[in-house]
Amino acid sequence: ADIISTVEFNHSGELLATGDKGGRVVIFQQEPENKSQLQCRGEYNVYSTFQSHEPEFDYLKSLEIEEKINKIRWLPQKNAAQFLLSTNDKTIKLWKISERDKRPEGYNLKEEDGRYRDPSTVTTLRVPVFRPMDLMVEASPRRVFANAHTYHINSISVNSDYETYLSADDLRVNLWHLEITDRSFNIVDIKPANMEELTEVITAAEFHPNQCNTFVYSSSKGTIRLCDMRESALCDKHSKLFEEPEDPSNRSFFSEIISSISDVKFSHNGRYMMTRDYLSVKIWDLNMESRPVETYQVHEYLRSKLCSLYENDCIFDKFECCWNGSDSVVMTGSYNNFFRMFDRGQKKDVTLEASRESSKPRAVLKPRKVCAGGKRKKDEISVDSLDFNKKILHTAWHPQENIIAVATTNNLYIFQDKLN
Amino acid sequence: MEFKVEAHRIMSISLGKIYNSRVQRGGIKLHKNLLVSLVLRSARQVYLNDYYQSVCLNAQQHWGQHQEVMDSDQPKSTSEPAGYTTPAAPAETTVHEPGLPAENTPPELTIDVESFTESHATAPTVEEVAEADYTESKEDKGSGSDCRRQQSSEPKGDAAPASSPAAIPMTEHLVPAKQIGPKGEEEKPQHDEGGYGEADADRGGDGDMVTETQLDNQPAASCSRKRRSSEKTPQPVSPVKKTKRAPSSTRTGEEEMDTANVSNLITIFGSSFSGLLSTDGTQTEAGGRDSGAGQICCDQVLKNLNPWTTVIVAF
Repeated sequence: ADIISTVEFNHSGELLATGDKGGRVVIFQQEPENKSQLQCRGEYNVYSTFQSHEPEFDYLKSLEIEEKINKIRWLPQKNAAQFLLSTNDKTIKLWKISERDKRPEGYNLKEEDGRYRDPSTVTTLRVPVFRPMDLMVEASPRRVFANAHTYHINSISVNSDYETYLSADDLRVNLWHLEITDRSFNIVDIKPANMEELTEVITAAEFHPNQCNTFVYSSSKGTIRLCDMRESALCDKHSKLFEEPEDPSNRSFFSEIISSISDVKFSHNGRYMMTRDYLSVKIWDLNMESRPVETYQVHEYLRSKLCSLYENDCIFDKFECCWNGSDSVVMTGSYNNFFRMFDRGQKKDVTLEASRESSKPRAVLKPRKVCAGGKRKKDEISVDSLDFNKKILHTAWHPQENIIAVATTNNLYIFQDKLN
Repeated sequence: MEFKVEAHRIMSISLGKIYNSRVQRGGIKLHKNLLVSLVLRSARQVYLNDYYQSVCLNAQQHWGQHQEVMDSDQPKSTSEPAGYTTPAAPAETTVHEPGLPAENTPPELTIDVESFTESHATAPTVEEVAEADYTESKEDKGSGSDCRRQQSSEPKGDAAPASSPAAIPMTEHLVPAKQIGPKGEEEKPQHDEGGYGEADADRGGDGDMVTETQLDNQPAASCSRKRRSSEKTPQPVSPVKKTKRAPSSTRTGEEEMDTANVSNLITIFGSSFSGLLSTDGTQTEAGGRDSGAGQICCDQVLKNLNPWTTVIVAF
C-alpha cells in the first residue's frame, strides 16, 4: 500500500504531491531557502498526509474498485489554500489543503474545551482573539465527481481556463466544471457499438497548456489525436492525427503492445508534445502529424527481451515522462531504478540511478550505462542483471528549478542539480 | 519449427493472463486484456501456419510413396494425368491463392471445375474420392467456390509431375492445418465420408484448396493421423464456422505440451479457436480488414466462452 502511483509538483514548485496504492496522498513542502546554506535549495519535508480514496465495492457489477491514486493534478493557487484533484479508477475528488496557525480563544458562551457555559455564570463580555497555535495542515474534500466513468480512469487534466478539467478512461473523455459535480459532458467516445469490435483504447489525455479549446488523447495503437472543442460538442472526429508508420523490420508478436502510448505531455510552451511508449520517447511538433521530430530510445536493449517481459508482465508497465521548465530536457524512467534524461538542445542523454546503495545523500549521481551485449566494460551493467522489479514509472520536474522527483516502488527521491 | 513452440508458449501464457485477470482486484483491465488478446491472435496465427507447414512437409515426403500406390491401384487414372495436367496447371496457381489468407477466390477455379468434371466421370477411384469430396462440398453451405475447389483437388493428385510443384508452394503458404484433415478422408472415401462430411462442410474454401495439394502429397501417415485426431474431437456442427478442424490439429500439438493448467484452458478454448480460425478464414476471403478479423476472432472467442461472456456483459 506504500507503492507510489503518482508524483506531481504544484505550479510554483513549492509543493510536491504523491499518491500511493493505498489511496493516500502525501504532500511535501519545500523549506524556504536557507541563506546560510548556499549550496542547496530548500529541502522537501512532509507537509500533509491524508486518505484521499477508500476501497469501494460496486455491488451492481460485483467489482472491487481500487483505492489506488492514479493521478494528481494541482490547481493554480487563487488564495491562501491549495487545491488539487486526485483520482482513482472511478472517482475524482477536489481537495482543499489549508493551513491553520491561529485559533480563536476567549469565547463568552463556550469554555475552551467546547462545553457550553451556563449563561447565568457569564458576568462580563470579552472579544474572542486569535492566538497562535502549532501549524496544522488540513485537507478537506470539497467536491466529489463520481459515477461518470464506466471504465478505469487513466488521466485527468486541468484546463487553462482554470474552470474546467477533463477526465479520461479507456473509452471516453469527460469534461467537468470544477464547481459542478452532478454533471459532466462526454466529449470523446470511442466505444464501438459492438464491444467485440474493440481494437484500441484511450491511454492518456491532456489539455493544451495555453489553448483552452484544445486537448489531445493517445491510444493503445500508438496514435495521438488532437481535438478542438470548438468544432463540435462530441470530439470523436479529430482535428489532427499524429501517427508514425510502423517500421516493418521491427515487427514481432509484441509490436502492438510496445507501440501503445503510456503517457502524453505537452511542452510548457505548447508547441510540442511528448509521448512515451514502451521503448522510446517521441517529441512531436503539433504542426506535423506524419512523424515525430525527435525520438529517444530509452532502453532499446530490451527489444530482444520482449518475450520474457511479456511473461513477467513488465511489458505492460506504464512509464510516464516529463519536461523540464524550459522544455530543453525530457526525463523518463526505466528498470533497475534507472531513469533517463535527454537533453534536446545538446543531443546528450544520461542514465542515472535512484537508490540508496548507489549514492550517498548530497553526492553527485554517477551516470550509469547498460551493456547490451558483448564485452561488458567496468562499471557497466549487463541487461540480464537488471532488476525488473525496480521500476521507475513516475517522475516529475520542478516547473522552474532543476529539481526532480523520482519515485521508485516505495520511495521518493528528490534530486537537484549542483549549485556552485 | 521453433516458431510453433514459441507461438504455442506465448498462447499459453496469454491465456493464463486472461484467466488471471478475472480474479484481479480492481476489475478487469480493458487495456491490458486487449493487448493480450492481440498477442494471442498473432501467436495463434503463427502457430497454426507453422504447424501446418510442418505437416505439409511431412506430406511431401510421403507423397512419393502414395504416388506408387495410386498408380498401382488406379490404372484408369493413369490415362487421366494427361488430361489432368492442364487443369493441374491452373489448379497449381490456385493453390497459391488460398494459401494467402488475404486473397479472394481466384478466377482460375472456374476453369478447374469445367475441366475436372469430365475427369471425374472417367476415373473410378478418383471418382470415389471425388464423390466423397463432392458430397461433402455439397454439404458445405459455404460459397460455391468451395465445391469447385473440392472437385479440382482430385485430379491434381493424379497429376504426378504437376503436383509436386504445387506441393512446394503449398508449404510456403499459410493454410490452416485442419484442411489437411480431409486428405485422409479421400484415401478412404466411402466409409469415412459420413464422418468427415461435417468437417468438410465446416471447412470451407480454404480447406478445399488444401485438399487439392494434399492429394498431390498423399501423406498417408499424416492424413490418417489427422483423421484420428479429428475423430477424437467431437465438434459441434456449425455451418458458419468453416474451419472447424483447427482444434483437432492444434489439440494434437497441444497434447504434447506439458502445461497442465493451460491445456485445460485450451480444451475449453478449443471450440472457440475453431471459431477464431473460421472467422479468420471468412474474413480473409472476404478481404476483410485485419482489425476486423481480429475483432471477429475475439468475437468468437468471447461468444463461446462463458467467462468471457460475463466479461463482455460486465463491460
